[in-house]
Amino acid sequence: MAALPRTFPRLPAPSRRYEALSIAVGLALWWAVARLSGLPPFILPTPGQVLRRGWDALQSGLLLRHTWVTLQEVLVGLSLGVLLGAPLGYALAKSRRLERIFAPYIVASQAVPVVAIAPLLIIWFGPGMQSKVLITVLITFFPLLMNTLVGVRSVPEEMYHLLCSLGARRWQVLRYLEIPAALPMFFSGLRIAATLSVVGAVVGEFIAAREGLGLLINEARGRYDTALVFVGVLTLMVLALGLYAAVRYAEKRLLTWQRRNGQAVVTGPGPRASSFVKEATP
Amino acid sequence: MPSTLLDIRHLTVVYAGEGRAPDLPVLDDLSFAVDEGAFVAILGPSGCGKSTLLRVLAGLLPPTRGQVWLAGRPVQGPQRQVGMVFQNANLLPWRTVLGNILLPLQVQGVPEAQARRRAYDMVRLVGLEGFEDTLPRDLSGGMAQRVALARALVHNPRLLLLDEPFANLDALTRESMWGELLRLWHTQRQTVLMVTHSITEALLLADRVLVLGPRPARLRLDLRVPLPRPRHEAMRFTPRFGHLAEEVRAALGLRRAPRPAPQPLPWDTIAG
Ligand SMILES: Nc1ncnc2c1ncn2[C@@H]1O[C@H](COP(=O)(O)OP(=O)(O)OP(=O)(O)O)[C@@H](O)[C@H]1O
Ligand SMILES: [Mg+2]
Repeated sequence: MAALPRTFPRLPAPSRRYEALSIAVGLALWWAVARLSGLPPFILPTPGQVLRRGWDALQSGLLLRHTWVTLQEVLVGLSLGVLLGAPLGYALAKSRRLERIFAPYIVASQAVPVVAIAPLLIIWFGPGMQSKVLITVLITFFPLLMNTLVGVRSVPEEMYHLLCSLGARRWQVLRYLEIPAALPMFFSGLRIAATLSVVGAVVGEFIAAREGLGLLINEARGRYDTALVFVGVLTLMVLALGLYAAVRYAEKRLLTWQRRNGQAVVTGPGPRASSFVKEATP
Repeated sequence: MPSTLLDIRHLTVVYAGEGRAPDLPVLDDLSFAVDEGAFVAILGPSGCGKSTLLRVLAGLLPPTRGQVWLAGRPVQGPQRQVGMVFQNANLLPWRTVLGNILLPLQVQGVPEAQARRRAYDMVRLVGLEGFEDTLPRDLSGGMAQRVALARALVHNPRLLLLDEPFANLDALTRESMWGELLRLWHTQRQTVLMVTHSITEALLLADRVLVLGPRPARLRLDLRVPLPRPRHEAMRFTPRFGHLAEEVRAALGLRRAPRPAPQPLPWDTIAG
C-alpha cells in the first residue's frame, strides 16, 4: 500500500508568469505554422504581418473609428440591458403573477437565436447604431434579469423578518437588505452579459452596418485582407477582455465581504477601529 | 408593584392552508401578562408555535383572534420598543460587527454620529472591542450571537424577544452566554421573553417559566422561579432546582427522571 503523504499537497500559488509563457508559446506556434507551412498571407498571415497591418490601420485612424463605434454600441447596449434587466428581474422576483405574465416572452426571446431576429431589427431600425444597440440589449438583458431574480429570491426569510421587526420601510429593505444580498448574483450575470454584449454588437454589424469592427472584418474578408481580419478579431478580443476585467474589478471592490476561495483574509482588530474610538471619546 | 408591560388576551393564530391543505391552528386562546422588567422563559414541544408567538409579539404576524397589548397600546405592526434575537444569529454577512449593530439605528434614522457612539457602547458592553470591523464569517458562534444581542439592544427596546438564542452553540459557550445575558439584563433592565428548549436554561435565567402544550398551544404551566439572584450555574445541583425541573418536565409530558439513591460523588471522596 502506498504511504499517505504527511500533509495534503497544496496547489502552488498561480503565477502571472505562466500566462505570459502560455501566450508566448501560442504566438510562436502561430508564427511557425504560418512560416513553415508555406501558406500565402491571405490564408494565414504571420504575427508580424498582422502587427504591421494593425499599426497601419491605427495610424490611418481606420481602426479607432470602427472600434469607437462598436464600443459605443456595446456600452450603451449593456447599460440599457442592466437598466432593463435588473429592475425587471427584481419585479419578477417579488411577484409570481408578473413572472407568469412575462415568462412566455422571456422564454421565447431566448429560444430564438439572436442571429435570427437581428435581420428583423435591422429592417425596422435601419443599419445605424440603433439596431446594434437593440440586439445587444436583447442578448444581455436575459442573464441580468435571471441573475437578479435568483439573487433577490435567495434572500433568507429570517433577514426579512429582521428588517420588518425594526419597522423598515420598503426602500430601506431594498437598500439595506435586497440590493447587497442580490449583488453577488447580479455581478455573475453582469460578467456573462459583458462578454455577450460584444457578441451582440458584432452580430448586428455583420448583417448590415455603416461602421464598426464587424463591418471592418467583413469588408477586409471581401478584399482578402486577412491580416486586417486578424486585427479586427484581436481588437474584439481586447474589447471583451477589457470589459470583463472592468466588471471583475468593480465586483472585487464592491464585494470585499465575500470570501475568495482558499484565500485567508486577515481581519479583526484593526487600526481603523481603535482610532475611531479615540476620536469618539475625547 | 411593577406595572404590566405585555398583556396577551385570548390570542389565537391559525395559519391559512394553501390550496387543499387544511388550516393549521397554532396558538389557541392564549392569555398571560408580563410585568415590566421580568425575565420570562417559554418552553414547549417543537412545532407548538413558540416562534409564531414571538412573531405576533414583534408585530410581524397579525393574530387571527385576540389582542396583544404592549405598554398599554395594542400591537398592530412592528414596534420600535421591541428587539429580537433569532435562532441563528442572522447577521447580514456584508456588514461588519459595527455595521450590523448600527442597522436598527440606521433604519430608525438616528443621526450618524450619535448612532456610531451608541453602537460602540454596545460593542464594548458585549465585550467585542477590537472586532468592530470584523465580518460575520470570521466570528465564532458565540461572538456572532453576542453581536445579535447587541443589535437587538442598541435601540434600547423595552421588550427583548429571544428565539432559542443559544440553541446552536456548544455547551460551554452556551453557559458563558447565560452569564453574559444576565449581566446585560441587569445593566439594561429590559423585559425579556426567551424561547428555549432547555429546562436548565429556563430555570437558571428566568423569574417565570411558561410551558406551552402541543399544537395548538395552550398554557400548560405558569411557574414562578423563586431562586435567588445573582444566579450561578451551580444552583442547578440544588434540590430546589430539581423540584422545579420536575414540575416543568411533568408539564411537558416527559417521564419523571428516575431518582438514584444518594451516593457519595467521586470528588467528595477525593476531597474528603
Ligand atoms: N408561515 C407559516 N405558514 C404556515 N405554517 C407555518 C408558518 N410558520 C410556521 N408554521 C407552522 O406552524 C407550526 C408552529 O411553528 P413555529 O415555528 O411557531 O413552532 P416552534 O414552536 O417555534 O417550533 P420549534 O421549537 O421547532 O422552533 C409548525 O407546525 C409550522 O409548520
Ligand atoms: Mg421556533
